[in-house]
Amino acid sequence: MRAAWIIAKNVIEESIRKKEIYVLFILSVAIMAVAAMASFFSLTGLVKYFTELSFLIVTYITVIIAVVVGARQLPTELNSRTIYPLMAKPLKRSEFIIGKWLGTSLISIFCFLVFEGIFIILLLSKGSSVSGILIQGIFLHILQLMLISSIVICLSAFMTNAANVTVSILYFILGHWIGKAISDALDKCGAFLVWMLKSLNYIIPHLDYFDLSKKIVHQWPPVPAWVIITVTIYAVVYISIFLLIGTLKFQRKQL
Amino acid sequence: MKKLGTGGGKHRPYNVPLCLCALLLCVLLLQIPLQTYHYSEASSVSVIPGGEIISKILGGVFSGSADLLWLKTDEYLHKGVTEHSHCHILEEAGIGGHTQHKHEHEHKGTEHGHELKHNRLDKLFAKLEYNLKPNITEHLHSKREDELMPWFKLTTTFNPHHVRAYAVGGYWLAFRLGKTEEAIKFLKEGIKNNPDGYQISTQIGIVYFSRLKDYKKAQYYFEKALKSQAEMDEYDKAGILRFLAFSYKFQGHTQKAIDCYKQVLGLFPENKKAVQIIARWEQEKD
Repeated sequence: MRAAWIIAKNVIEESIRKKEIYVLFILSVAIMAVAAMASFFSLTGLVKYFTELSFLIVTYITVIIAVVVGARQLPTELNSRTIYPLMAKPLKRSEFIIGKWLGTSLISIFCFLVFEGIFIILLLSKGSSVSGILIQGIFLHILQLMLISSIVICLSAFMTNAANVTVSILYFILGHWIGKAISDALDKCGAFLVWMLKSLNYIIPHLDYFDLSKKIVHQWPPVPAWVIITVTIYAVVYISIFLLIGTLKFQRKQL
Repeated sequence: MKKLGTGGGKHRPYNVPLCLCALLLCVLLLQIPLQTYHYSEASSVSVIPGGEIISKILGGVFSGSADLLWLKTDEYLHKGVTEHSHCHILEEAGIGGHTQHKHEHEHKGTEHGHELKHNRLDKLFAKLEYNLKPNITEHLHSKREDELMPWFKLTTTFNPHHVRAYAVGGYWLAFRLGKTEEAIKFLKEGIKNNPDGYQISTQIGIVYFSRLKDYKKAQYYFEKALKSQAEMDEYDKAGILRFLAFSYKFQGHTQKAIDCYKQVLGLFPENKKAVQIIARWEQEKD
């Protein structure tokens, strides 16, 4: 796994050198600051509106970071031919894929934790406190970032950078509605379609299981531990599946 | 030998820019009559300061966003529970809840010749969803009702013609949060953007009537609401007439107050309370 860690470190260093993360960082901090300072009818201490907006911005920005960083990994290595000297070294292709996934996940998680740090400071300055549900929400979003990174790395073995970014962002947006959409459609379908939709419901990862934002905003009590454990297992299973598919596809590539 | 696709004519490098300029000029000249025809005075309210042109281009986007923001007020009022998700999750998890919806669901299922059987995995996912999403309808704590206000303001910022957001927002400000001055300012902004929005005029009248006891100003706004060209149902009209009647009465204009109540009686002849009030005021007058 040492080789995978070296690959991951390269991904992180390369991402730090590029400018896009800094632009996204400035943009999200600016939006959070504006949201924190906004005044409505001279009311003070409005926490829910600020939490909702900040959590939404941070979620989207970190997913964009994961997608943009992850999608360019394999196509760039192939186009610039830097992959050939790498493959000449004693490095397994599975380690290469895992390293790329690890690097993408770590950079997006790091950005997320920085954003969350700023968000928590602003939240505390508004007189609010850090709740248990917020900690759970942060943990689930980290899992979501790892899952999305694995999907993006898997797709990058199949498609170009641009196509990958489009498909992944689209999936992230629609991924939160899949369960509900399928559930609604079940009422209107025949037996065969119901079977098809139910299968699809099991196959596609449900991103809404990683979203606690509504409970965080409305200050609900923490969710039971078994729920967090189940969602963690769910994420680990899907991450393994996507990394396996990505590795198998990458192993078939003629280099 | 001629090149294919050149058309055989002389190559003039200025032809394309000249054509483009001519077309742009045509478009600009057409803009004047089209703009005059298309945008009425009422629709030219700017969504963002100085952003009239942007609001015209993105009008639909702003209006749609405003509707979504309006739904947020309802979501906040019920601690993040939306009606639909609530029913669906409870039903899927088999945990209490909306029996009527469940019967409809069962009926639809059998109509297509099959029943939706839920296996263990379905139930596990349903329970997960139940725990991850807000699930019990509960009203926002009265001390945190101020959390609703940003959404009223944002709704009207995105769509200044959202009459309900002005009227309901004005009510919450004045009567739930005790911010009478802010409520009047917000409602006046609503009247400026929606001169025919009788609900806003009514609401500002109620604020003057109930909170400030300024019956003269209340009378002015109730009369303005009754003059509105917008469609108004008889219940709304009767409600405004009642407030107007009391505004007159408290200023000492008993006859005008009686006339108003007679109009209420015209709308609802069975209204016994209106008959009693008219009789009492007639007596007082004598």
